Amino acid sequence: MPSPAQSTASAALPKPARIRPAAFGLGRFRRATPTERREWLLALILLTPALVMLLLFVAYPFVRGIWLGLLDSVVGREGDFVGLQNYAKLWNDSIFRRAAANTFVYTGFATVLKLAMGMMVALMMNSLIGFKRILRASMLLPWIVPTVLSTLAWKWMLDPTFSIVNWALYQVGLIRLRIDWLGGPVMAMGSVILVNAWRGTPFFAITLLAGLQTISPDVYEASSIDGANAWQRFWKVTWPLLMPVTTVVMLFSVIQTFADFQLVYILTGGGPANSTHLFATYAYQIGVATGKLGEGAAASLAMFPFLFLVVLFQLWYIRHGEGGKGVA
Amino acid sequence: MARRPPCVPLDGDELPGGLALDKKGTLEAIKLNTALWKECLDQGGLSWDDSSNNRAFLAGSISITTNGASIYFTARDKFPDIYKMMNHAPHPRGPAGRFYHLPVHSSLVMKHSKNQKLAKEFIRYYMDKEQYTKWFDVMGGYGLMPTKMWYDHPAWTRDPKLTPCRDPIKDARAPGYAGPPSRKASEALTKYIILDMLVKAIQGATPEDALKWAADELKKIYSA
Repeated sequence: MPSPAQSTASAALPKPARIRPAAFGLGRFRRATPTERREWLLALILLTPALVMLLLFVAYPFVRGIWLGLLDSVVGREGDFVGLQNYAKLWNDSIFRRAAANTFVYTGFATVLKLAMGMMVALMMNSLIGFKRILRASMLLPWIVPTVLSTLAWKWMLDPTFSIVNWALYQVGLIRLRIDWLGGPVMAMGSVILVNAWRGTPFFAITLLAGLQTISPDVYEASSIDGANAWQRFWKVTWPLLMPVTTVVMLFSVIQTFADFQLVYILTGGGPANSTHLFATYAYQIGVATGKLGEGAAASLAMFPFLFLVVLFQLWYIRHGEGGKGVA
Repeated sequence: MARRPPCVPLDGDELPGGLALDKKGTLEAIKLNTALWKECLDQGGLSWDDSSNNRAFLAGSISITTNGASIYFTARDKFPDIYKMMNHAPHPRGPAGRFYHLPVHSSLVMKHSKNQKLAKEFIRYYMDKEQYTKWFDVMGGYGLMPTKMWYDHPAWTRDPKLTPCRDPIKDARAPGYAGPPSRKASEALTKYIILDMLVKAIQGATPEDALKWAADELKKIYSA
């Protein structure tokens, strides 16, 4: 038990609470000891490269993008300030509206699919006894292979004339006519979602697996003794305990999927008939292929409000929500 | 059978590009294209990229396609049986004439270039008959002629099967025809408005709705 003197001392000590950025003001620097000053200087030197990189490659392009979205720039001409005219034009553009709707459909379906498949793979991996390393490494392959390469392979696999998927289905007698995987709006959208889910599943699986391994076996043992079957154990034990990890992984995935470009660009190029465009691919089509830089910037910035909300929620969740307890 | 660049036979009205679309002739063209697609063309074509028709032709899944001589050269080198049996012919003529959409490449020098004089001299040098002949000869009937003087080059007649490739340039139109080629025309092109119009009709929209959609999109582009 602490002595009265000790407890008074600990009560008098400042709370080891969060460091407020304002506390690092100039006054604080003047009052600091030489050792502290040296440490701060070192910190500043170590931070500078990262800060410069962020300013150059993230902050500058972002601010420039916002500015460009307000100009009627085309390739070779700086353009004049037109206010929100680019955004108004996009609002009236039926292809853009389609791209916006597509992006939400793509993100929604792909993320849920990735979660379902990732969870299944993680649960299987978690209960594996042998070949753990080799299986984990091979499971990560879709995620490690450069997207452009793997998507090109998928493009071949779904080719209208040479599809190996069709060939296989035909050989086992499941189809008699070939399936045109990328030829219709619904099939093409379904195909890009499937390929995205294939690529993103390992990210979910490996993160969820890490989460699964932090759950104590005692909890499962206790629930088994209480008579819970495997299904109940998953929904009543695994799922709630894994929720913080799941949420963070979902949020990361939503951000990546929402801003996806490579996969759709390679697989369908936004077609057929502009039916699989996402924000990013359509922004590229307007900005680079058509050369209307201002409108292209506006189209890509249209992603920003949604992504901003997701990031805000993510930061809040990690700090204050369930994530604060489980992940941080 | 496969067909790649859809050429819309217009009524021949000399209206500025895009606005000429909203015509009866276009409606007929959409109907014809839809019927042609359903009855003769490769149904997988909607998901084709630039080289899909080459591959399908050489694989024997289609027997006719719209293309330059690239398939012919590949066949010559790798598919001798197909090579022996294939030949070139001009597009059939429509009610308003025969039209091709052919890509045109221009050599340009930027106004902000520091080496404008040198760049111009370089263009002049490589377009000069002495140098360009070698290049034109190697292309052997695949490239299009930049000026009329190349019409009589032996590359066109060395292989009689390549001679039909000499003439499409005469009926070629730049994007935006009957209006001038412009930024707006190229916007309509890169947004695939005409192509989408035809695809919408193939996918089940009425020809009238498909035409209205395309005409509206073009009006938006051209009125901006």
